[in-house]
Amino acid sequence: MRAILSEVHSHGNQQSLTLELIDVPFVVNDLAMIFMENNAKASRLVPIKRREHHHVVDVTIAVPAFIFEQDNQREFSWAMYLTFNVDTKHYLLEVESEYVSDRHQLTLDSYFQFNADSQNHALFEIHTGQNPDEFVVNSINLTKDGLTVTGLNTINDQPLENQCLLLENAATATVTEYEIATELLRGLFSVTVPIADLTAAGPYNLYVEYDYHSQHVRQRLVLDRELTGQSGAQALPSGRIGRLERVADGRLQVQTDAPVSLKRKVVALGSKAERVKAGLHQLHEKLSNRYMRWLFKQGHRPFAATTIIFESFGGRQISDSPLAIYQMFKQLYPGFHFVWSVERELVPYCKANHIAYVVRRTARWARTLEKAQYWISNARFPAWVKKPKYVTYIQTWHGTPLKKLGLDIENVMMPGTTTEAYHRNFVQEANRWDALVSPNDYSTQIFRSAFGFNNQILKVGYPRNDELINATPVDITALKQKLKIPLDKKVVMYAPTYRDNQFVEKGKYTFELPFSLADFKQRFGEDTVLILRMHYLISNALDVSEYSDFVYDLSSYPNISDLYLVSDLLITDYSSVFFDYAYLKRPILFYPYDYQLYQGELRGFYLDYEHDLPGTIAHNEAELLVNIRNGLRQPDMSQNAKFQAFYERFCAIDDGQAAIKVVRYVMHQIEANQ
Amino acid sequence: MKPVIFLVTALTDVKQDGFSVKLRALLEQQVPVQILFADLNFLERATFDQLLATLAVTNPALVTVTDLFDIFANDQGSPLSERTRMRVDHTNLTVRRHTSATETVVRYLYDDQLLEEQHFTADQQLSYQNFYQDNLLTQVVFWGKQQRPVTISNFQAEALKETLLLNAQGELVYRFMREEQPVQKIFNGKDAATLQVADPATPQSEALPSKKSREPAGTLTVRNEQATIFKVMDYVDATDFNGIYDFYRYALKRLGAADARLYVSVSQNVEMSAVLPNQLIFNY
Repeated sequence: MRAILSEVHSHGNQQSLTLELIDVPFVVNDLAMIFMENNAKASRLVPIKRREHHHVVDVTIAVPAFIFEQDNQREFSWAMYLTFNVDTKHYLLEVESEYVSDRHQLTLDSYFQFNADSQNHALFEIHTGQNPDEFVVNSINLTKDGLTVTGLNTINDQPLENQCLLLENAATATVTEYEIATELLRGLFSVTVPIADLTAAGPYNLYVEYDYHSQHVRQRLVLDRELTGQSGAQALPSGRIGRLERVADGRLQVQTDAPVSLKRKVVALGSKAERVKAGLHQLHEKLSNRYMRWLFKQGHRPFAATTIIFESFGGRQISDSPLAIYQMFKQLYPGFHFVWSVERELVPYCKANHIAYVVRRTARWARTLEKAQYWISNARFPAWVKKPKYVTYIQTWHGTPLKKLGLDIENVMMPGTTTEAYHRNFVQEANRWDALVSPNDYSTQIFRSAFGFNNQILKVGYPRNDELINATPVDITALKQKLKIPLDKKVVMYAPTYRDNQFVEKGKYTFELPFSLADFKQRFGEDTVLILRMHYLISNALDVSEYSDFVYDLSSYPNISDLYLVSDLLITDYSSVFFDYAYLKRPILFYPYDYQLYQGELRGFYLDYEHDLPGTIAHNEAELLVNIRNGLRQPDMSQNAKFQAFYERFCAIDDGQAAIKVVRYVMHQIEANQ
Repeated sequence: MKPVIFLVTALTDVKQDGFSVKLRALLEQQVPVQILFADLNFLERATFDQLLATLAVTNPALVTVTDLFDIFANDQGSPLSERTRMRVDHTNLTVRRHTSATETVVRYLYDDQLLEEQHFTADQQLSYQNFYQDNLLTQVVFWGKQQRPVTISNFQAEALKETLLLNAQGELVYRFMREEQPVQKIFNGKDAATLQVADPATPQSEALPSKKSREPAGTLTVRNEQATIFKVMDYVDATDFNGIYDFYRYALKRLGAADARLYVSVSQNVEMSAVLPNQLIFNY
């Protein structure tokens, strides 16, 4: 029986907390949450009303009510308990969480954050009486592009006006101002000082200025943790070495060290040679030791540097939520070591895009996987991949489930496996995941039941969908230009699912389009183009060369979100793509040409296909063409009641911050394990 | 700082370290403290006063103690029936008297049968009367400083069965009926244990547990206890109290605790929180 904090939403001064309840009976008395302040031993009980979806409950709290006067106390750390009674049984459950929320600035000198203690119990931490002359940055990195700072651009949801970054050369007392105009995510700015501006001898101090409540504020930049994960050193154009430092009280400074003289370089080279020699010796020793460990079937030691492995669809792509998380990590914490686990055919792509990689099923891959501390994947690793104890494995999964999964599949028809083995492997694999990303309550419930998953759910939304939520019309135009799609034409995307019964032999599929491209072109070809997005297993079986001016086969395009963004209408059948596409509030058309066969003989569905979908169902080719025309005439679905109900159920987490929330979770683990 | 009220429901509350630590801290800051002595066993009041004198010795003038009689003394109640209060005709009874430094005890016996025992304070004020049948305690009438009956407690097989709270006119205002009930307290960690049970036996580790060594998620501890509960019957206006904690809530309200900073025993936090939703409660 467990209660897990899975989500926090801000509504002005009120915070809405979502708890996932596991094995808690529905009919209980006096259901409430008790907050206990750990320092003053003060408590506050908030009654809970249970919703229809009874595995989750919402608790709304007003933050000011959790601050009180007590011996000049400035730090408030509230533990959380779920309490309820069943007859004469009195339950008190400490609320669990590994969830770490964003820092929410309440005033110039106070903020709060939802955190977790060393035992993964939830904490609501409020910090008051902070130094109002300090501005805590989210990240800071000194790279060849310059000095990049990210931080909050709101206080208690109120935007900060005229925000700018000030670079002060302490040696010359000159100050340069940089306008803060780029929003990395909603509520988070990003600003870069060009590397050329750091040429002169420093050190450089950093400030931020803004207007807030008719007050002009100037604050010194600080980082409230170590520089772990940040890129902190860079050769400057002047030959000096730029170096980020946290000086007193966490204040940030850029030091500019004099260039190294030739003599020192020669001396350094000598000592480097010694170190290399020693390193080779150590390596030899290490290999011998490794061999011994292998002989004794003992595990590996983790890398000294924090290393994160990313994998998408078993190494076949650099894509999906792992990519969104990777990009956020690269931007905020480039000081860590990131490695993609890929199939060999992706090596040229990785090289072209400067992505560190290891090729799957090689000795280096096994070694890297075993020595890394974090794995982030959207699909299962093979069962024979051993997960060391020091690894934290974050499973993003790859879609809101429509078709039954794991234990919910009663009859598994996949070559090379049986139903029993498939179930067993699913549960074994799922419980190796330390955290599982979930996009909504519906998915959370299915993940628990279908995977037998007992660990942390991160209900933060899918990181891959951040792009859909945050993209602007300018971004969409740029994407169309990149994909060479005419800007004056509407775009229809066809993205069907793959069928298990298309197996002809293990790993090989066949596929034919279930509608006539000729008819489609005749009806819509003048002002519309068609994007085909087929499953990776069948994309090679298509030949659309005859329609090259009208059909864009983008099945192998790495980022499907880009294709959603440029499309005005989606056609699908049973693929879970519509859960993602719905974030755009554009029309969706369902064309389940083999519905009876699919539902009756294969996996079945969690949703009522006839009633719960956010669009019209076309039962034959004629209906399909009619509905495409209707759909293209109604580009915005937000006024459609059925669509909106679907949106509320599946797309309600639409803050576009899923990737940074997963990054925060990993950072919390990294800091906890240091 | 807001006015401070401590709720005390039993002597064990006062004996906790937290009580003295919090009380002393407030008194050192010159904060006046009001204590609601809501112990249904009024006989413990004298011991409570002695303990408090040692705790509040630095600044006793800042502490005021209010009991349930003080709060409800002027509420209109229901007259007691003739049979409610036991009386013993002292004529022809053997009288035995014993005087110590702190009290005088007078016993009334019929042959070898003890019928009544009166306890007087050192200044010869009647403190309480015990009545016996077959030498077993059946009723205690507490007089207190008011020199009038304040509570009547009835016993069965020498176990407390009910306590009646009277007003200044000797009318019944509240009846507290005691029951024993088996309960299960179920919790999932040492912090929850501290709140949930008075003497958590959960082993406590000194070292911080590592991520890999923590208890499996969902592990619950079950404690079977025999709980004492009090049902409350209202003779003032027939309020339907949901147990004794709901009555404490009402008593605190009558005392004006809505605008005060309330301190309760940490062992009663869960129960008191349940009857005071959304209220900030401090624990001792």
